[in-house]
Amino acid sequence: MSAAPQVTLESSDGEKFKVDKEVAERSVLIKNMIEDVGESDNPIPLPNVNASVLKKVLEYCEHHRGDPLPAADADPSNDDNRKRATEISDWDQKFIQVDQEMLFEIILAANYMDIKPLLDVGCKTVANMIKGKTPEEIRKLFNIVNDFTPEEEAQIKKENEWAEDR
Amino acid sequence: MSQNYSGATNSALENLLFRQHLSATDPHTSTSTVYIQSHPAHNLPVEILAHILNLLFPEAGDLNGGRSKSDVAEIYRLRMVSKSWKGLIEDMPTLWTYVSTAYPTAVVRDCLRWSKNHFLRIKISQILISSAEALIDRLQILQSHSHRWKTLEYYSTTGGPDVYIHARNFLESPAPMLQSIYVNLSAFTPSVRVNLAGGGAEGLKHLTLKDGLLPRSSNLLHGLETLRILLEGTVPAKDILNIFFKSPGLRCFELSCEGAEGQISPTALATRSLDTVAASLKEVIIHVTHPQITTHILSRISMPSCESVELSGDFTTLGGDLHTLDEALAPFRPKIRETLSLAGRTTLLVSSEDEFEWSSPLEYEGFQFSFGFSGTTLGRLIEWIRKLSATLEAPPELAISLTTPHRQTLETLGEWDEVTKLRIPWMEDPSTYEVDEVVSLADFLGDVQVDPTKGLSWNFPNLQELDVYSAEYDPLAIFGMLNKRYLPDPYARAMQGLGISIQTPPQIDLRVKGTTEVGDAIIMTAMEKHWGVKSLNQGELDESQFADE
Repeated sequence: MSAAPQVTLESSDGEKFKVDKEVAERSVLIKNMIEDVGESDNPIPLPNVNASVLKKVLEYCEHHRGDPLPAADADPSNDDNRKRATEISDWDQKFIQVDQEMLFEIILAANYMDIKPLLDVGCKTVANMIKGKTPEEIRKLFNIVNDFTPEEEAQIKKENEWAEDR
Repeated sequence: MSQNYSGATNSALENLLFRQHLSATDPHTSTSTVYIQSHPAHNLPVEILAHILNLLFPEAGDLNGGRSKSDVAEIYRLRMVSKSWKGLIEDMPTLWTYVSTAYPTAVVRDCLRWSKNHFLRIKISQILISSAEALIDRLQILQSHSHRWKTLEYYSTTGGPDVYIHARNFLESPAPMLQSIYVNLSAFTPSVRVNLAGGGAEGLKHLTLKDGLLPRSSNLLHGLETLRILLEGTVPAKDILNIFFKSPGLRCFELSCEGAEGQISPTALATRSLDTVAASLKEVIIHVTHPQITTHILSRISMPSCESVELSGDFTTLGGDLHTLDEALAPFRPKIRETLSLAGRTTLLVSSEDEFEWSSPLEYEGFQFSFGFSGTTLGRLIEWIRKLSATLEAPPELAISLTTPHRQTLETLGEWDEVTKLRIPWMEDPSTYEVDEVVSLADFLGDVQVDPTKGLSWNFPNLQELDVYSAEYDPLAIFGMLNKRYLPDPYARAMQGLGISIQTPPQIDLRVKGTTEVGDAIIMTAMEKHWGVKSLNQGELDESQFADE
C-alpha cells in the first residue's frame, strides 16, 4: 500500500511540519495553494502563524481529518443552526482550553488559513466568554480601554436605560 | 483558477460594511489590516469580532424564532464597551432586523435605522406596551417600512376603535417581500376579511391564520407552501376547496376548527368526483370537532405525494361511524398498510374510555399517520384497525399507552393478541369513577381466565413489555401480579400432567419506579429474579423509547 501523500508546512519562525495532504487541506488556503502551484517538495510558507500555534492548528486538523467540509451556504437563520450557534463538541471544548493569548492566536490562524470549523470553535468560545457579562466585565476580560468621553458615556448610558430596566 | 487566500470570514457582509465605515471615518486605515485598536496584543480583526457577535446573536429565523427583548437589551449594552464596539455593532444590520413592538419606540427606530436596507422580521404584540397610543405609534413606524417586511407575527391587539383602525391599516400595508405571516385576527369582531399584505405578497410561502375569515386573494394564496387555519368556529366548505385550487404548490395544510358550514356534497364519496390534485402536498393535519369536512377534503382533493396524515374528530357525528372515514381514506390505505407492514408496530393512546389516538411509530420514516377518535367505541376501532391489517402476513404489534383503568377498556384491550407493550404514563384517579367501572391494572394482568377449550390463560396474552414507571405504580402490587400471571414451573408442569392446558404469557420487560425505602428495595430484588421477568428497569427512559424500541 502506498503511503498517503504528504506536504511540508513552514511556520513564521522557520519550523517545518510534514503532514498528510488530507490533513493540511482542511485549510482552504493551503488547498488552493496546492491546486494552484501543483505538487512540490518545497515547503508551504505560513508567514502569519508561528510554530506553537501551527502545531495546535494541525492537532485540530488531524482530529477532524475525515469530517465533512462545512457547507458554504449554511443558513444562519435556520433554527437548528441558531441552536448550534454557541454549542461546542466535547473534544473541541477540551482542545480549546488554552490561555487567552493562544485562543486568539488560534482564531487568527484559523482565519488566515481559512479553516472555518476551527474559526467557529474559537469564536464560539469567545462568544461564550462574552455572554451575560456587563460592558465593564468585558473590558476587564479583554483589556479593552473605555475610550468614551464622559459626555459620550452619559449619552450612551441614557440610551441604554431601558436595557438596564429589564 | 481563482486565488482566494483572504480568510474564512471574508464573505461576511459585516466585514465589507465595517471596512467601508472605517475607511470613511479614518482615511489612514488600511482596509486589509483593520484592527480593534483597544484589544489586547491579540490584534483581533473586526470581521472576527463581527463573526463572534453573529454567533452570540444569530439572525432571527422564520416565525417564532425571534429575538427576545433581553437579547436586544444585551446587544444594546455591548455598545458601551468601547467606541469601536459601538461602531461595529451599529454597523451590523443583521443584529437589528428583528423588530418587536415590545421594544421601546426609540429602540424600534434604532432597529429600523441600523438594519439599513435589510429585510425585517416583525413581531406585533401588546405585551409590555403601556398604552394604546404607544402601540399605534410603533405600528405606524413599522408600517412605513412594510416594503422590507420578510416575516410578520401579529398577535391579537385590543384597545378600542383607534387600535382597530390602525391595526387593520397595518395588516393591509403593501408588503411585497413578505414570506411568512402568522396573524391572529380574534380582535376583529365581527369578523372582517383583512386584505393581508395589501393582497399582494407574491413571495408568501407560509401563512398561519388564527380566528379570521379565510383569504381569497389569488395573489396571496398562489405561492403558499404552508397554510395553517386555526379557528374556533366553522369554515365555509367551498372556501377550503378554493384554497387548494389557488395554492397549487401547497406542501403542508392544517385545519383546526369546529367543522364546516355550507353544502358538503353527499355524493362526493360515492362518485369520488375529485375537484383538484394537490400534487405537492406532503402533510395534512385536520383537527375538527365534526369530521364531515375531513372526509370532504380527503375525498375531493387528490394528494398523491402525501407523506403524513394527522386527523382527529368526534366520530359520533359522522354517518356510518368509521365507515365514512374509511371510504375517504381509501387512497391512503396502501400507504397505511405499507407502514403497518414495514414498521411492524403501531401505537394506540387511550386517554379515556372513548378517546383514542392510533398512530404510526414516531421513528418510522415512511408514511406517517395519526388518527384521533372520540365518539366511537374501542371495539369498533379495533375492528377497523384489524381490517386494515387483514391482508398483511403478520399482524403489527401494538403499543398501548393507557391513562384510565376503565374496566371495559381494559377488557377490550386485554383480549387483543397484538398488544405487546403496555405503558401507563400516568393513572387517573380511580375515585372519579364508579366502583365497578374501574379495575386495578395489577389485578387485571394477574387475573386468570378459564376456558374449557383453551385451559388457563391471562389478559394481554402476548404482553412483552410493561412500563408503569411514570405512573409510580406500587411495586408490591406489580410483584403480586407477577406471582399470579406466571405460575411456578413445577406447578405448571403438574397441571399440564393432569391435562390442563396453560397459555403462559411471554416473559416480560418491566419498568417500575422504585424508592429508597428498604421494603421497595427488597421487592425490586425479588422482581428482578422473578421467573416471569426478562428484565427490570428502574431508571429514567427517553419518552419516545417505549414505542420506538
